[in-house]
Amino acid sequence: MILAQNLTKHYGDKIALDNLTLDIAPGEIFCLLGQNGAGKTTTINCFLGFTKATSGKAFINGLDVAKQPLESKKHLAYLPEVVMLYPNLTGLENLDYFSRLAGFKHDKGDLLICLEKAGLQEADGKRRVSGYSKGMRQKVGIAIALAKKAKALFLDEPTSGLDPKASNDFSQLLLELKNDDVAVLMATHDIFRAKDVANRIGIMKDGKLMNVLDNSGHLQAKEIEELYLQTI
Amino acid sequence: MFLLQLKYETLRLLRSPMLWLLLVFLAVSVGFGAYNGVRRIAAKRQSVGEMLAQQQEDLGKQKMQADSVARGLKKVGGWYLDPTNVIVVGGVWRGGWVTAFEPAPQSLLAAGMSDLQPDAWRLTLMGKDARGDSEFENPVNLAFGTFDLSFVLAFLLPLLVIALSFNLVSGEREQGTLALQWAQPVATGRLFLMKTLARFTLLAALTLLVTLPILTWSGISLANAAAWQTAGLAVLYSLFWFLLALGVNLRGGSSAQNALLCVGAWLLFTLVVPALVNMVSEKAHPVPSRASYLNEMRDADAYLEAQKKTVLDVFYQKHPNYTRKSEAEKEWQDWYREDFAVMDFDKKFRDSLEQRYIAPAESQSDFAENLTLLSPALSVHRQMTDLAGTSQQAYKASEKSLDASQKNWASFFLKKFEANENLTTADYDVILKFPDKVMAANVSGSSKGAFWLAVQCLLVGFWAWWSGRRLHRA
Amino acid sequence: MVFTIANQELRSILREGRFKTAAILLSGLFLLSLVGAFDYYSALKKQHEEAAQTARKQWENQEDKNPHSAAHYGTYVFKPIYPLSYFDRGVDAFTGNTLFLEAHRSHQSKFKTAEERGDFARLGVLTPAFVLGMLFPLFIIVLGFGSAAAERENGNLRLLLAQGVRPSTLFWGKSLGLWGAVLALAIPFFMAGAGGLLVSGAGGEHWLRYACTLLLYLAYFGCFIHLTLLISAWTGRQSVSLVGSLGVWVLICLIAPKAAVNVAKQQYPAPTWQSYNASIKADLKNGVDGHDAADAYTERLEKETLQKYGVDSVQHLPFNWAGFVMQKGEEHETYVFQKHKAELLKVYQQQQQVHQAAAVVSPFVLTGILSQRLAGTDVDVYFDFLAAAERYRIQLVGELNGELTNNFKYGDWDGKRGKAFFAKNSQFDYQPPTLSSLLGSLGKPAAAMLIWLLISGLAAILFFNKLKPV
Repeated sequence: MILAQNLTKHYGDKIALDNLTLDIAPGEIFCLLGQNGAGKTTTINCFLGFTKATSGKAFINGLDVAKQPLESKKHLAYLPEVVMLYPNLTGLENLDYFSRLAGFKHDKGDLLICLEKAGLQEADGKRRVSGYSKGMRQKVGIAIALAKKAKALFLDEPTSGLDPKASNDFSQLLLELKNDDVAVLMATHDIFRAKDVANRIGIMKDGKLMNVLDNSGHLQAKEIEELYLQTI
Repeated sequence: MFLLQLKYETLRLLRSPMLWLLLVFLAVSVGFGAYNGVRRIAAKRQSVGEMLAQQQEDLGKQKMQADSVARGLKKVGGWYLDPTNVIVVGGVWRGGWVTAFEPAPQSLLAAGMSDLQPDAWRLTLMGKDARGDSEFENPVNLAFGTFDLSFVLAFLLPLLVIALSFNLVSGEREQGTLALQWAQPVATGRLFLMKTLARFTLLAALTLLVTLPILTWSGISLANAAAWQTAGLAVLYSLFWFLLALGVNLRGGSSAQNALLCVGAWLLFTLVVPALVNMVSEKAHPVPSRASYLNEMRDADAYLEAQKKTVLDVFYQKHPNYTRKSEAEKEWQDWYREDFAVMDFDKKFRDSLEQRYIAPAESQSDFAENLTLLSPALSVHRQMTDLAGTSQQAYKASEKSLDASQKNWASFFLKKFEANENLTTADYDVILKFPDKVMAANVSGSSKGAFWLAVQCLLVGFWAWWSGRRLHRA
Repeated sequence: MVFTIANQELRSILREGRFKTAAILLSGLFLLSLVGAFDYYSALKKQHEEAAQTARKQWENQEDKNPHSAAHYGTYVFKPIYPLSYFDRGVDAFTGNTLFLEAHRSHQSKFKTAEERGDFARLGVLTPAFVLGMLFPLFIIVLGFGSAAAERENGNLRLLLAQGVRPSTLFWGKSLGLWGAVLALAIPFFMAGAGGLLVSGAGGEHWLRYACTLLLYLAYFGCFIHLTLLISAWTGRQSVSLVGSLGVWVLICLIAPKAAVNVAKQQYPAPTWQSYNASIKADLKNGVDGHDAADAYTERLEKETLQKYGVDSVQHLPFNWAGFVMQKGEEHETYVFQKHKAELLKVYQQQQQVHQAAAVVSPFVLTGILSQRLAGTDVDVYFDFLAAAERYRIQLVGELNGELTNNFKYGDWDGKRGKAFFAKNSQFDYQPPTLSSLLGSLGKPAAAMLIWLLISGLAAILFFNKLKPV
């Protein structure tokens, strides 16, 4: 579903991505760990078409991101680190707006269902976003992905700033999406959360994917941390 | 897509308290400006009305006296008190006919020069002299200027537009909604275009909503082209500032930076550039002070006295029917006949002197007007004063039409003077019906201001587009 | 501690790109305004001085004529141009430049500079007062709108408070820092501004006036420093602070003066042309305030005078009755003219009170009033000039009528006087009010300015105290 082939990005002399190869199947959650500046956000930007790769290719559901930008976007959803949304609009209205941009004309009922699935109560959905906590805003972001029926989800530091309960809620949500065969690429600093939800964990350094760990086994969070520290 | 953007832009703006604050502020300002204009016109109409009513009354009384004198029922103390005397009524030092400027309803749009220019002219047999309330206006009031609609439009409207567009792009970027939108399957170019169109449609609608009702309420009905011209000007002006804010946004800076730049541009165009234009035009075409003009006029008096004999020689040659009398023998008819004979010669000479003061002033103001391109505030000011008929040019044009009026007035009496006739009551009836009002000219639909504003919009639009391309490439 | 904070504030301001850009632009404009305004002033001064000399020469060299004819020939006087008018042009462009003095008439001054210029001239003239009064406050706002709000937004405020800094100390520190930045520009400006006085060679009193003007502008800047800090602390957010400060500036510098004009005109309208002239005519015709109408007055005067000198007809009086009665008539008419002028002046003064009331909202209006008064370009000086010109008119006409009265035989209208006589007539020598005489009228606005400074400062401290660190 999410495929990167020798993705490389140069900014002048600086190498942001160095021959990155990545393959995430539907229903798989892949967590990307790495220091600030290691290339996590650049990777996501390449898939989203925000940045043009210097060489290599990125595919979403078999569509070449560079060659078919609009088509590929139909299949993905994105949750940036700072998700503010439009403060004067309600959660419902925000959802409606972004859905329509994506080409979907859901009626109010359907949108409320999406919000509910994302964990947002109807009453909250009708309040203005300016009063939301970060967790609530994220749920709207997830709802946008759901409303779009996106098959690939890109998350940039989703749990930064969330309290343990919200963080946990978020994990649950991800696991549900996994069951819906959504492929998830999540850039994060949160080793604990990565241990919780990921199928595989990748560690990036200087634009290279140094190490990919399989999370299906008995790896403990502490071990992951040590491996991380060794790698970087 | 456009409708989607329009719907949500509207919702977002309507729910921001900032918008309401600004709208109220603008509405109050427009209202106050229009109200002041209405009062100004009312005051002028009253003032002019007083003058003309008094004139009708006085001449009416004079007509009765003329009747008595003609019938021999009343004796007069001297020819200069005789109400049937052509000179006395036609006017040189006294008498004459007052013609006043009548403000049109759209005069409320801009005070322009109306507080400095005369409200009326007294037409005489030899020329005309000015009169008006501006003689009594407190200089402090003149110096501060007035809170009229033109001021609100030129200075305050841009602030509203800037406040609603300075963070068009930067705000969304800082909010994260920009990235979210880019992640949707929409072409960014199209999205951006629709968004800006929607935002501007809203701004234009707001501008119209604020200006049109107030204009109608203050007396410029929707049937009057001036209402639509003003509204159109306001929208065009909003477009300029909107495009400017857009260009600034496309530089890619933060909202705070954008705000400072936009406000800086506002300051530049509304305050600094006009002041600089004035300074440069003053330097390029300095106008000599009228102080020296007066002294020159005095010297001219002496010169003209000396020339009088020669001119009269020619006159008496041409008109052998008139006898040239000596000073002691001359009667009032002879004095005035000679005055009329040299009148044209005198006027030509004095006018050429006056040109030395008028010409540089005109050059200076023409020079300044050629620099209208440098600031949209100048374009707006120019167009508004032209619409209102209170621009310097409008007054000059009105003055010219008065010269024609004066010639008519004078010729009526001069004919009788030459025929040695006196005025009858029938003549008085004709006189009383002489046109006494002039509509302050709308400089024949001049739209120079609007033209320059359109050019400025194009230029700033081009800059915004170029800004965007640079950003795109980076 | 105050100085530590001040130092930090000053340093961060000076290092900002904003400061450099704004300072360069402002300096450029100030210098331009100085040069341009001084140029204009010296040209105008020269023209008026020359015109006054020419007018006198014309008076002296007029054709030999009867003194009363000379009284109708009249003379011109020209508005004086003061040394500091290059700094603040005040209402100069809106007061008439020339005044014609003749017998039996009290004319209005003519030829306001502004009425002959184009439309754009009303939009603002670049003078040092304009730059200091309108643009400099923006400079202050741009530098200071962040201060308290930024500290709060980026969390430094919590650190500061944790270090034991009191809010009022913070205020004093920031205020001092801002003052540093302001003075860094203001002092060079003031020094440059003095150049005009140096070049024009004006005398001692003008230096004192200039010094007072500087103090005035410093107080004005202080008001804006306090306002900016106040708004910054009150709003707690930089964006809102900027918008708020700009809004306040627009209100103070643009809206208040103009709105004041409209309110003043509405409350205390000046007479219309018709009513003013008509009431003068009526008073002349019908007599006023115990002064009889012209004819009745002349009759009475004749009777009294004949009685006084014990003669039975005016020819037998020891002086020329014609001259005598004309002078008396002149004085009689002057009474009416003065009365109406005084009423007009009263209206103007009432309007001024409205303008001054606007000073409650706008220190810009206050500064304008004071700056103009100090520069000698305010309305009061102009009215003083007009009054002096009127006194001169009466004096001159008096001399002419006196000559007629004392040295002419009754009924002799052919006698002439020439250069010898006219050269002896008094000259118009107007001395503007000295600074010491102004102290009274300067007192109230100056006090108002200080009150503004004080209250804005106190309010700012108040809001600094209320600043919530979160």
